[in-house]
Amino acid sequence: MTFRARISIAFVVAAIIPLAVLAHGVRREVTHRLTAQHERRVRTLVDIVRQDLARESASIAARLEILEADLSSDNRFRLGAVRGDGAHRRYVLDWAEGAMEIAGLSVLRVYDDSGRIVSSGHFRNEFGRLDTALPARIAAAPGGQALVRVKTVAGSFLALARTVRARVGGREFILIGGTAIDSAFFARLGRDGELDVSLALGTVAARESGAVETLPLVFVDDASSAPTTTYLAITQRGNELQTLRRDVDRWIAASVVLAALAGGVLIAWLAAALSRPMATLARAALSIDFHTPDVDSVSARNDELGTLARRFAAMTRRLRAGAARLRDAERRATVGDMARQVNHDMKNGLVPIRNVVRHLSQVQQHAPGELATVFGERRATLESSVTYLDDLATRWARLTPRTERRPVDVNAVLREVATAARDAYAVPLHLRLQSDAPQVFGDPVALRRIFDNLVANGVQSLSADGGSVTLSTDCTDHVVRVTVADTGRGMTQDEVTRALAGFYTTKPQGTGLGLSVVRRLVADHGGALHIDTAPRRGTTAIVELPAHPTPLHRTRAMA
Amino acid sequence: MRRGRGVGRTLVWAGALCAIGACGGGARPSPGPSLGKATCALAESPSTLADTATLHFRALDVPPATCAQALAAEWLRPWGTGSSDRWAVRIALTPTGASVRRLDSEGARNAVDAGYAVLATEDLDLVAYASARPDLEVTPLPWDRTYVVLSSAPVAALGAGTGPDAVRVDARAAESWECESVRSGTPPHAAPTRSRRILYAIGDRTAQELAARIVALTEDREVAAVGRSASALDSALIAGEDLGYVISVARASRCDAIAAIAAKASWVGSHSLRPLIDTRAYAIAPRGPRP
Repeated sequence: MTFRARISIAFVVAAIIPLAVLAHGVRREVTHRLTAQHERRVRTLVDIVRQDLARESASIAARLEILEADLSSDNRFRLGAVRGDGAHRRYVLDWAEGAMEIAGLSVLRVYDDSGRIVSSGHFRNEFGRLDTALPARIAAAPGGQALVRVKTVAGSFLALARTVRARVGGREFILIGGTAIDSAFFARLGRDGELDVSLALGTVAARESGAVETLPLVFVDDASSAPTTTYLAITQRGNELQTLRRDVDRWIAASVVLAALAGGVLIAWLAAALSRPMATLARAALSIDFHTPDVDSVSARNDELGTLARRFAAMTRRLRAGAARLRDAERRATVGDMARQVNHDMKNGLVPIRNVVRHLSQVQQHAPGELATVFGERRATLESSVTYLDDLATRWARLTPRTERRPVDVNAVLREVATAARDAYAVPLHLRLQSDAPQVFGDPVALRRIFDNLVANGVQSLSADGGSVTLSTDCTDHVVRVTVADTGRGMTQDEVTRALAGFYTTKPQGTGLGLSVVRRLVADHGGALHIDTAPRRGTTAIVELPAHPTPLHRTRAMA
Repeated sequence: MRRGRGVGRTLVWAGALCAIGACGGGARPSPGPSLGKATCALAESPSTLADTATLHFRALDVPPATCAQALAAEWLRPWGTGSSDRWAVRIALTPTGASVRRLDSEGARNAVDAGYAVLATEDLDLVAYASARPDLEVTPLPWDRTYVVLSSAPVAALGAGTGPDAVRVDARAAESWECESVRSGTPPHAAPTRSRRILYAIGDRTAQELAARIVALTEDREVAAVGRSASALDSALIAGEDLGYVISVARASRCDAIAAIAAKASWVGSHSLRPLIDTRAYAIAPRGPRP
């Protein structure tokens, strides 16, 4: 996962998710409280509307009561309407108009006891029209009020009307007065500005109006039709609650979007400030070795990355310096190692020669006449040792002792080793060779070095009290196993481990390279070295070498 | 604006045109006698501006002020300015006639209060107010205007029951009359009524009240009274597509006026005409010798 992806995830986890949770909580809480407050407010407003409506109705009733009192004591009206005095007829016809204006009503009619309009304020010239149904229907309506359709010269309008009875000169008159139900009336009722009040004619219309409250009213459309129920529908103007919710949602969405945008910018900036230099540093780390210059591309920064880059560059410089010193040390160690190996091999090769020379000197001193005979006997040893040293010298001359592999008879090599060891060391050395041991594919010089070293180690481990070294071979179909066993002092496991690692010896003049050289050469031949030893129980070194499939060996294997 | 020119029978024609608002170009001929035996000879048609008019006349056997009041009531009523005030004018005599100024309600009462003004009005409240002044003499002028309703619809009852009570001027039920110059029977090109409106001329409050009375007595709830300017009313009357038209004509030349209307509106005939009321104005003048 890239650093940028990690930053993005961290931002989402640390910022976006908490912000979203916060936004959700705030929205939920705000919505809950707003809804509760709004509902309380709407209920209050509806109550106010209901009270205003009742107050309006009461106001109409009060004004009608005043007019009724005025009418009862109006002599000119009495003369015109009751006594039929033609001189006052015009006064009667005009009475309602003036009274309506003074009373602040929109509708005023005076009916006589026969149901005929005597005077009309809103429509002066409808006098004489018979309308017996309307006063009765208004009076029968709940609360004594009804919504009526009132005819005028220019059309009709709706009014909230009430009735009052008046007695003038022994005759009964009915006054119908009311207030126009128009936009101004609805505006007065919905004065808060938050509510709309409208008329919904019929139950279905009221239900479909989406009103928060409906107030029923009896509606008298005209004299010929029965009263119906209409409703004052109170609806929320513009649905403030939804507007508030929408605003809250909008702000929350804006906050989240803004946070996301800010996060994106932050991530981009962090990527540019961190991820990119780190990627550059990583690429530089890939290309850094001990020969390329320092990485200076980010070292100019003054932040932690700049410090890291500078320290990285300093580290590479230190590593390179250390590597140079290590190479020098390795070179020196290699030279010393080579010198010690040469010394070791030369010593091993010189031991038989020195012993032969010492033997010949002793013969010359004590039996000069047998010198030629003894020399003849020991000449082979001398030539073999010289040849061996010559091969070693040739190979060491090439610095790297390369192996030159070919099919080798291990038993022959062991016999040479045994011969040289017998000449070199005055210890019993036994050979138990399997006669049909297969050849191995190897370097005879290297194999001799292996077995010379093992025999030398075995001889040198013997105590002065005696002991012997035994060389034996046995083989399976694919492995030739050479065992060099001594009856010497043996080694601990730790000593074995350290001896195999090299430069460890218990001998005063030893180089500590014997076993390590053996292990390396056996490994070069694809074989294995096993050391079975214990203190005071001698050591058995087993060298397993892959058998070379000679025709003879193959035939025997097939058989 | 000049109103009228010429003499004799063409007076009636011009009166009819003015009744339908078509007298703007001054096509009224010289007046004939309208004060019974008293003679008020209008020298030329009255010229009117927004609130003033000039009458040129000769008064024979009557005081010039009386003649001026009668001529003003006959020729300048209704004024048709669109004002809601009742018709009232103040008259100032000139060597050749009189200068007439239209007054609003308050101005008319202020003039009455001054006590020396010569007025003519149809405002009954103003008449009552002036009658209470002992220094003023209030006399009714002749029944000089007749209001009729014209309708192409077969509404026999349209206008029935519409009498003097419907208006706030001095009025009486119109007598029915027969005009030889107006065709009788169903006209061949009666226009179908398309609206439920009763039209009247804006500014003619008496016509407005008559139209309202017609509406009040109509069971049809859709019927409404609508005011129109003189020219619009003239056009609508010619088209004849409305339910009815309330107009006024000079009573003395009513047959000629209706005939003139019928000449333009082919649907108009005796069947489509219902006389409603006659109206008159009042003269108010200081008591004592008249100038």
